[in-house]
Amino acid sequence: MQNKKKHIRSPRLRKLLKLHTVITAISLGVYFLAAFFDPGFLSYDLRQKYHALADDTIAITATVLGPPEQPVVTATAECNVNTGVLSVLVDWADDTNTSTYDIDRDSLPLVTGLLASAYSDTNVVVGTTYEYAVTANGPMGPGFAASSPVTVTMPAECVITATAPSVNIMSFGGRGVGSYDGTPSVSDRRPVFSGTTNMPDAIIQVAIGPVNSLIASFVANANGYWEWKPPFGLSTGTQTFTVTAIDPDDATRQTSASLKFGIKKRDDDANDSKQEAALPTGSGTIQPGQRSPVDFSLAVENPDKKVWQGEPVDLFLLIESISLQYNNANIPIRFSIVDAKGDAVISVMHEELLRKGREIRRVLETPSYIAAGTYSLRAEILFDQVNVSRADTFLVTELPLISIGGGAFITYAEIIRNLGWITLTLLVLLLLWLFLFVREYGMSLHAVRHITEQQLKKAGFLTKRKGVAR
Amino acid sequence: MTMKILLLGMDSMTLAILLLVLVFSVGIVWRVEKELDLSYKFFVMAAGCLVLAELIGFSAYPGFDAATWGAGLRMGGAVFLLVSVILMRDLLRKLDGEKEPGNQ
Repeated sequence: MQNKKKHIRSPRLRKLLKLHTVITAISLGVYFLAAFFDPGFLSYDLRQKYHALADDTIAITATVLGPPEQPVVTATAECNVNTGVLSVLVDWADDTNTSTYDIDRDSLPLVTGLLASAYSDTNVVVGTTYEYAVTANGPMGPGFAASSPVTVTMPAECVITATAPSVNIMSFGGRGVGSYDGTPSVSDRRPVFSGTTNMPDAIIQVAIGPVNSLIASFVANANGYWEWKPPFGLSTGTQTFTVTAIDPDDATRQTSASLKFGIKKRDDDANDSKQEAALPTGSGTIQPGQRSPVDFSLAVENPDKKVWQGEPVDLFLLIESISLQYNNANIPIRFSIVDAKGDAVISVMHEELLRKGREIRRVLETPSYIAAGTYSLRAEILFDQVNVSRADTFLVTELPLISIGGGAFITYAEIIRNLGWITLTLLVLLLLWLFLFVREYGMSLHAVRHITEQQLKKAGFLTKRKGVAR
Repeated sequence: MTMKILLLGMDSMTLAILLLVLVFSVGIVWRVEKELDLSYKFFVMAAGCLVLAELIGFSAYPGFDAATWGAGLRMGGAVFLLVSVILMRDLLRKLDGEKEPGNQ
């Protein structure tokens, strides 16, 4: 009877143990997978488990306040010359015993429940005198303290005194313009020009003439800084660089600056000149503020201006206006993808029929080896006299290989970086899976043998043999 | 990030379960004979298709149409599963005497 009991219980226990092992293995696998893909998860989990006790300590501090102090108030009339806004700054010292402040102007409430110890009153009129009094309210007795009233008289006028727009060329070819003796000259055929303007986000138009006539338009940053590198090599000789800064809010506010510079001949110019000759560059003279023969916009149409490595860039070019001279004419356009250093990664040229309102959509293939980062898509319309360019930026992101759900990806580079861990994990999982296979095969062989012996016993062949009863 | 880990965990669990299904189904194929064996062979193929579909689901390479391949493999899995169930049903009907052995 006891033997029978053992036979019934033991397999159940074994099954329970096996089930427990499988569930534990799967849970541990999931846990370590999560920790592997997001190490932050592991640290968060450990912190939650083992540092929870430390968080149970609660510190309570209490402060006993005194009665509020009487505010000593100053009132100053202010005129902002940039905006033309007139105001009165009412100011007084901080007080830890005070919770809120009320301000009366001309014995009538102006503002109540103020937490700060200063207030700017903008509802004021020129040439008027105002009287201010501040009451400090605190939780402790006597509860409040009123200041002595102060008076302030507003100025007779407050007008906007806008500064004149300015733009200057600070550096050329990586050096300050003032550091050159005589005319600044470099042998680099694509020198970087940079400078500043006093108009934040100003529209910057640059022009180079007379040899490689080129007009480009871009935007200065919020500090007024701008930087530009010619999209192709300039011809040797003395030329003039002209920059025009235009106020983005008021196109009538604009100013220009010019720099005469030189490009020196180099030993390898013989080869370069052959390449330059193949480029259709203008030969006219650009005057400061000269009107561009075409106005167009350029945009990268890929979603969020983001492309994977090797994914084509969809570009959209809209001719907003074009001078009659070039309307309905076939003009070459060069499309380039330029990296952060200003070097063209790829460049293609199409001849397009230009007319006002024409929408041009093209696809630029990017090489799969292109490095991840921010790039510029540049379009240059190459006229006889001038070249006009526009640019739009886009982001090249690393090629994803594995999606781990929820829009998260593992990139090829990340896999290479963690190749050791990935190989080890996959190897362990593969071994576990193969072990299960082998185990299953062994169990099936055992079962077949067991059934055969049982059948033989049933048939009466193995009745007297030892060990058959199992 | 918690949602992403949850999704990753669920995907991994699905794959692990399907791999176990594959192992256990192959184990049954090794144990049984004739029509039941054939039925489970189709079951193994269905499980294999679903495992491949899950694996392909992890692919995010833009040059590979994972969605189409995944859908195709899932459909293949469904077809094999259906064939497997039909064979099992036939076997049970024969055992119940509802259908004569050899009568298709």
